[in-house]
Amino acid sequence: MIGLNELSNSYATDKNQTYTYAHGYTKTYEEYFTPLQYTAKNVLEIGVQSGESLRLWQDFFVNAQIYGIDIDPSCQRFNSERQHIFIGYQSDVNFLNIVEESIKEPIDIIIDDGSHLMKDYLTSFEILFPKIKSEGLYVIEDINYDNRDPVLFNNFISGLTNGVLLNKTACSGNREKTLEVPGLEQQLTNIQLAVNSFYLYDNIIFIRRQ
Amino acid sequence: MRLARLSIIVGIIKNTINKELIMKNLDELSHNYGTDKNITGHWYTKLYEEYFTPLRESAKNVLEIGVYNGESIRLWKDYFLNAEIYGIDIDPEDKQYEGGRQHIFIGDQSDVDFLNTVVDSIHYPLDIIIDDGSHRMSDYIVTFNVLFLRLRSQGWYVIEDVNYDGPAETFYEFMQYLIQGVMLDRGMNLGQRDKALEQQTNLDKLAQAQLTIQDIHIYDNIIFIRRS
Repeated sequence: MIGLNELSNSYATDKNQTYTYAHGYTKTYEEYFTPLQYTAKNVLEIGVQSGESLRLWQDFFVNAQIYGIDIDPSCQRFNSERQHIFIGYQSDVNFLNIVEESIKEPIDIIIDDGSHLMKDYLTSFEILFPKIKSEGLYVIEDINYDNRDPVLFNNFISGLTNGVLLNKTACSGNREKTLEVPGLEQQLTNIQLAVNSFYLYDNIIFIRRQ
Repeated sequence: MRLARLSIIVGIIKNTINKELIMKNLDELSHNYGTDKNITGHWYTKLYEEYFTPLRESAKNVLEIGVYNGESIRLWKDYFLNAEIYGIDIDPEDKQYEGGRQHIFIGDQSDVDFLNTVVDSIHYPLDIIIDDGSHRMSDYIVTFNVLFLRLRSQGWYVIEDVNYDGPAETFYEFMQYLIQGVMLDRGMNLGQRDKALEQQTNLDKLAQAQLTIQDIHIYDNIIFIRRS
């Protein structure tokens, strides 16, 4: 079995470790994705660019259909038997809804490596997270690339935190205490409440659905 | 995971003395001792199993804050086959659980001098630290700042019952403290690190402990913090 990092190196994506300005993400991906290598059926990545990472996912997730979203129409050339390309903006809700509808099944993994603009990745998350299957993962790369609005980022993470801590709560006394905050539960979106847990690394976040 | 399971099997074969105990998983052990860590109580054991199985044989030093009636200290002693288990509690009665691989320190987890005395008298780096102590939000940071630095690289710092002391919103203040560190730590991309540093004018104020956080995993009521 070929490891993710090896595959990554062979395609020279910026996800691997040996690249000069490497993100070092593949080591982390290996940890989270290896258990899903054979079982994942549908994987979606936002940001196709030169097609390398799509090919990486195609080779790694041996049984999965790979979906890619990009604004560049020339990315259509990467359409193939297991690769499906959608051209449009990740901040365009109507476009995302079309994508979401045309992928019939729940998605195992979504990776947002798109514009890295906060307003974009938050919009995509709102629309696409519900499409994730139970215990599936939603990943956002380069989360602090766009740090023009720390408040927005803060609200995003605190929303996730509130969602996680409210959601099943092991100890009911604590749940009640949390619910005492006026209006807190109403403020939480269904999306936040559907978050099982999340894993925050330097510059990348993994969000697991319940 | 497969490798981890294999290493447990190897461990079982190697150890002929306490076979029955070793084959029990964490949840079964937890039921044995009636701690509140098991699935019927907190469902924490399922997570612990996931995070700690790979360390079951290799962990050498495990520290838990909050000894109470000694059950979880005993659980860790039986689970981590080769580890010294250190317990901290404010209740002097808990000294009774000292013996063999169990070591008890009596003191307050918000007392920095006490914590320094503890860490100076035990073997470290620690593989795992579990804060199941006062569950007071104000104690988290004090304890974390002293103890996190004594973790080995890739070691886990766990805080149980994180929303015991007030609502999730209060807890988020502590989260922000951790996030400040994570986002600055190594900066996977130099350009972004510089950008982040520009904004963080009070970098000097960040504690050494904050700067060595690799990642944080947030679950309902429990968090895992890994050292870089």
